[in-house]
Amino acid sequence: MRTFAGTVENGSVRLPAGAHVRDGTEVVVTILPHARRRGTVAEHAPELEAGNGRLMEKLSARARELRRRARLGELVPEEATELAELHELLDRPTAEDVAQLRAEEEQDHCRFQELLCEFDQVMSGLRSKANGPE
Amino acid sequence: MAPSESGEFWAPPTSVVVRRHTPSPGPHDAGWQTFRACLRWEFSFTCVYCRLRESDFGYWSHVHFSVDHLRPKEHFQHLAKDYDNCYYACSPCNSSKGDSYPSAEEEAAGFRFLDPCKDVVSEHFAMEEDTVVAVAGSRIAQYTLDEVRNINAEVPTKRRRRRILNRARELGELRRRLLAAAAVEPALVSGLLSRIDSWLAELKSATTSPLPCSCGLEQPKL
Repeated sequence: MRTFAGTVENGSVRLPAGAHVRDGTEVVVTILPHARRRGTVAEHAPELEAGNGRLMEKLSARARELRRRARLGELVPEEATELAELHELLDRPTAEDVAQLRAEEEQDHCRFQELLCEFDQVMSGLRSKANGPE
Repeated sequence: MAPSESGEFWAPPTSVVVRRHTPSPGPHDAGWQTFRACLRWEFSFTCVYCRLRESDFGYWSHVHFSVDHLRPKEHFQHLAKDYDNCYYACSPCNSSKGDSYPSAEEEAAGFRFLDPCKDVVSEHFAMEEDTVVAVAGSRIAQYTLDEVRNINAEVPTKRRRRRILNRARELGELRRRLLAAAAVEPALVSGLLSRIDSWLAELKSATTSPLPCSCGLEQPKL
């Protein structure tokens, strides 16, 4: 079985030159989720969370293009909705980010406890120095 | 929390960064990696975009930072090993920026990335609590916030808030303990305060000897 990357033109799938498919052959077309314009948040979120870098790059490139058009005042309302959906998707923290943040919080807590211990040691040192024999 | 309180810990710089180092690139393809050590000093161990410091990322924090090409090497290959095109950024900002660069029409309309070596950051960005906002009318800030979306993403915003809250908590707790000690032994606390002052003086004198960067350039006194 061979797989060809085709494009959709006017609702029909156009296969690249060299894709030898005889007339009448039944073909199976797999539409990748990111090729759809609507419903992107629900469909892409699990994939992005799983760390699909390629999908992330594609969506980022699309968002970048839409932002460029927005800055130049060329964005149509439908695209504005798409951009908002893309941003909602792309701006979500990854599981790795959340884990890192949690680790940092724990480190901060430890560092603070160490600081307090040092402070108490200094205080008790001073106290014993003040109370002890000259 | 009032903006002034957060500004105390996180005020945008009021002057441009003047580069002092002149390192040579490595001979390999990714020769700009040798700039990293110098860039850390040039940009005060701080991400030029989100302004988070290495210390905000916990232990081994420097691994979360990388060399950023202001003019992306994907579009400006001849500037890939140009030190003046390299900046210090945290990896999330760097990857969020990607190979973004304004088109000719956008540049003509005044949209471009903020360049901390040419632009005064405080003229374009301000802080509102833990969020970075564009100074009204600054297309440079608008473009930078648009294209480096990590600046105000959930995670760095939490880091900024955490930094502020931690400082407040630490100072508050130390003050509480000092006051508790003062109630019992006022003489001890006054002694401690003078001791702290002398430590600070010692610390200051210790840091007056210039520290060298790995490129050999001596750093200015703190």
